[in-house]
Amino acid sequence: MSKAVEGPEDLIPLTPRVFHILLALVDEEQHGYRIMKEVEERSEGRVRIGPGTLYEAIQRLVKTQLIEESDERPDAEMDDQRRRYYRLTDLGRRVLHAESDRLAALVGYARTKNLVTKAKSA
Amino acid sequence: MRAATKPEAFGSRSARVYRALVRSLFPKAFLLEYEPWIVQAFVDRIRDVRTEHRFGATARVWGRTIADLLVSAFRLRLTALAESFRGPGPNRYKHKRKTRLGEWMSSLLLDLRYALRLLWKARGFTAVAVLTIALGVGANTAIFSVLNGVVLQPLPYPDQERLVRIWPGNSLSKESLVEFEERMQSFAGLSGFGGQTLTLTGNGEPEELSGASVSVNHFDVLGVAPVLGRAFLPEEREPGSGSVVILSHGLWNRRFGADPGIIGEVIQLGGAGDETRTVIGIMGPDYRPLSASVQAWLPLTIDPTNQGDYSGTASLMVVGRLSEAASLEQANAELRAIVARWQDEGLRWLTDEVARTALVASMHDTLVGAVRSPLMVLFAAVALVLLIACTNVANLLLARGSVRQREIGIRLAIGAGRLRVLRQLLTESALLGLLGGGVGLAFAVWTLSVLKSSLPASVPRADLISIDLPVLGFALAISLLSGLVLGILPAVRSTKSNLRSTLYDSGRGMSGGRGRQRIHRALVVVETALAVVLVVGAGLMLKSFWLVNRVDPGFRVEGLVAMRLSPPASRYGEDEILRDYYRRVTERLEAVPGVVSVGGNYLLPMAPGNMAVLYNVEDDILPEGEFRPRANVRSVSTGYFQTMEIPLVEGRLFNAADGTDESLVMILNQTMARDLAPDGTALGKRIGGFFGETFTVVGVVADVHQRSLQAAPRPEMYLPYHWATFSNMYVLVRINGDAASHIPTLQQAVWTVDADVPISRINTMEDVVAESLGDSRFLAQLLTAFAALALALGAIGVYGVLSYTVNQRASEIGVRMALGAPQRAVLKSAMAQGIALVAGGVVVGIAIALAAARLLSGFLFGISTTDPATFLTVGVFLMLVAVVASLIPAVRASRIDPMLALRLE
Repeated sequence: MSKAVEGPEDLIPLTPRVFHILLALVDEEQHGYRIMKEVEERSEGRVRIGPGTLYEAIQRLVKTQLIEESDERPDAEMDDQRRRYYRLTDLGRRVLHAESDRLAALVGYARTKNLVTKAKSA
Repeated sequence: MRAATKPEAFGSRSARVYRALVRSLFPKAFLLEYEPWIVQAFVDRIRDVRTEHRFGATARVWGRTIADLLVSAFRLRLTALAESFRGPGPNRYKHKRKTRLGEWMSSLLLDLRYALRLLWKARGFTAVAVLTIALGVGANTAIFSVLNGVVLQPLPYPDQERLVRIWPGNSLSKESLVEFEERMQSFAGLSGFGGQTLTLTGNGEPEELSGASVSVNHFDVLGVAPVLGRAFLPEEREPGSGSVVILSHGLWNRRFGADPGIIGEVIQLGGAGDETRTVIGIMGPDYRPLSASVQAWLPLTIDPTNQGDYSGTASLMVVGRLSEAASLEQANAELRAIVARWQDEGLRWLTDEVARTALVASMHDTLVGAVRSPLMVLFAAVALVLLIACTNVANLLLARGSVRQREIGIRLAIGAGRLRVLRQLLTESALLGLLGGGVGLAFAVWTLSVLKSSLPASVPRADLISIDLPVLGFALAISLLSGLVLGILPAVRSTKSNLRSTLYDSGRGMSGGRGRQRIHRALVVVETALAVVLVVGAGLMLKSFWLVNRVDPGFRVEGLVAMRLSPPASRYGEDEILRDYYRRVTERLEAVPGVVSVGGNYLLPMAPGNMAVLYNVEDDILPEGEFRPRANVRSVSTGYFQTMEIPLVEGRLFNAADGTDESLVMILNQTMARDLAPDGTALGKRIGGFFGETFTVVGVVADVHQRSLQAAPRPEMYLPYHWATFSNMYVLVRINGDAASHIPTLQQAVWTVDADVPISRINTMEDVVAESLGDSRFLAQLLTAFAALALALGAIGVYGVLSYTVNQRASEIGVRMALGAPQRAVLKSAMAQGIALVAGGVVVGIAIALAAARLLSGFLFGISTTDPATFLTVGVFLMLVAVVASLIPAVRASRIDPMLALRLE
């Protein structure tokens, strides 16, 4: 099945949405709605992902082996219904790294041009 | 696959709606894996929102959700599509589109997105263009769906292409049918079909039904069978072999409550020599009879010992199914051989003229033949409308092209291939076409509903007209096509200009595009010419229609009510009883306030139905081999001529005594009197050879148009009703005042005599005449509507181009005015330009119309297709339109402020 899987560099740049989804999975595995919420909260509402878009992306990310299913289990905090959880794969983590480095380099470059607002450097 | 344990997404209504949406939008493969989870995520979101208690939050979530579903479903399907082209390649997150097709698809998507964005930015332009195309596409789609339903669709019988009609122009006798059956080898089966008027009584209101006598193998020939019971048996062809009937599904439902037990029951169905009939079968709900109104079928009986008697009564339509081996040519050859033999035998009705019409033709063609050509005319008309619409939008695009010239110039300069830019532009116009088509479809649905309700009764299979798959395909095709057609010229034009001149000129409106202006003008000439063609067509039809309406029908139409009474044969079998019935009806009607007089006729002028015979004139026998044309026979009551106000020319009218004694008398119409005695008087002539008697002419009355206002009156003989007594009659009532408002009272008056007599038709004579004009009115109305549309589009085109030119020339005009050109001169020059353009279009259009109007020749009455008055009027009219359309831009030009215009430089 796996055909000469490319290195992480071949898979970037990521679209902002995918970047956000992968970021949401860095710390722990999540189920769909948590990913949606996390992205929305972390971007202060600027990035909203609807269920359709989310699962369309998930399908692609699973296919490209950036994320994988962990298992199905109830979410005790919500309503104890069963949900399907996803987590980053190694490849996914490496891609996320590569993309972050790329963005950082870009931002660094922008910084030399005095384009980055100072106040936000926390 | 794995069996996903479905989470219990709580069964709320919103969850159900959401699930239904997801199911209908997303691809199957995706649903299999993700459906429960996607729904769960939505349910979670909704619950969270509800706990927030924010006003309108739920609605906002729904709005966002639906947008999210549409977008993601679209993307999923697109990916699936692209994969299907590419094959199941390696799954990678970012697809590298390596194949040509994939590349092409992705750049098409880019183009589409770009085009959408542009169209959205220029919303005003887009709206005008889309509406214009929508009008064209809508009109075309509506007419196409009529054409598709009525003409193009095959007949609803198996192997319908083998079904033929024998000698469609001629009614045939049973004897002829038998002879065809014996001598024609190329048929698997032949069937006669003759109309019958039946009266259904017994259960519920009395009702006159339209029935048909058909050969016992009729349904075999058509390739159909009853859904219930059986078809006719071969032995039911014998007279007196039992009275049976097969009912239509509609009648069975309506009158017998769809009771299957009706098979084998005897019903009170009078007509064709019987009072009651045994129901043996029910046809299926989808069965379409040869004549749409037929609700009951009787076996056509043929008495082998008595065939000579049939030769006089020719009322059958004969249809056949060609055998597998035979061709239409063979069948035609066989028919010609039979007709040639009949001619040798010297059959009386078979003049050379009649013999020439002998023909075996495809049943489909004979059924739709009459409506095909008017529909084709309409189709041509809407095609012109679409062309005009396309020209208009092309003009708009061209004008926009000049705005976008800089953008395109830069694209070309930085290395976009010309083909690539061309494709981008064509994608834009194709998208315009598709959007126009979408709106046009809505327009077509509406037009069609109007159209269907005004369709003349003569149009067969009107119930088949609908917007179905072929119609949708047609709409899609013409939308795309018009998008490409209207886009090609502007696109080629915009990508041709080289960069240097583009960047150099684009700031300068004046020289901005001399070539472009030439194209603008050419397009205006073209669309004016097309509009002229349509308006001329409509003008000819309108004038012809007006002329038809001025024809004197030969009787006074206003204040006349006609009703058809059908006394059931069970109780009105004898002439004496019938005469008594009609006498009492006449008395009752005459007693109604407002009624002036009452008359009756077996057949109504201007309505379908005819009875015609061959005749002899005593002491005036024609030489061997020569025949007189058939003459119509009418049976009329004493009061008929006074009621219709048909003037007496010579002799006397019928009186109460006529027909009661031995002396048999008749009245002729003027045409017949003139035929018989070109110089002298026809009074006193004795005419016979039909009905087994000889009649003396006692009067001559003025001609009446029997069939239609267009057709010239034919020879006609009137016999007194008292002698020629029929059961079904049209009763005519002359009213003092408004005829329509008297109808209910008249109906009641008739029913006071006998409430069981069906009144199958009751109308004012004005309606009857109007109905007889239905076809030409329909054509005239539609052509006029389309011409008006063309004219409006044309006027908008002229206006648009002139406005554009005035804008382009603003600085030039400014300079002129600054140099002292008077306002009036500017006005005049702008007007002159518009008028010159239209004049060019009118000249070209009239030339085309002279040739194209020939298409209408079959539909015109009283004028030629080159009627000078019509052409002249149309020319003048269009020039007036041109003046009006150029006025606003011209005035605007003359009001240009020189200072402002120069500052813009």
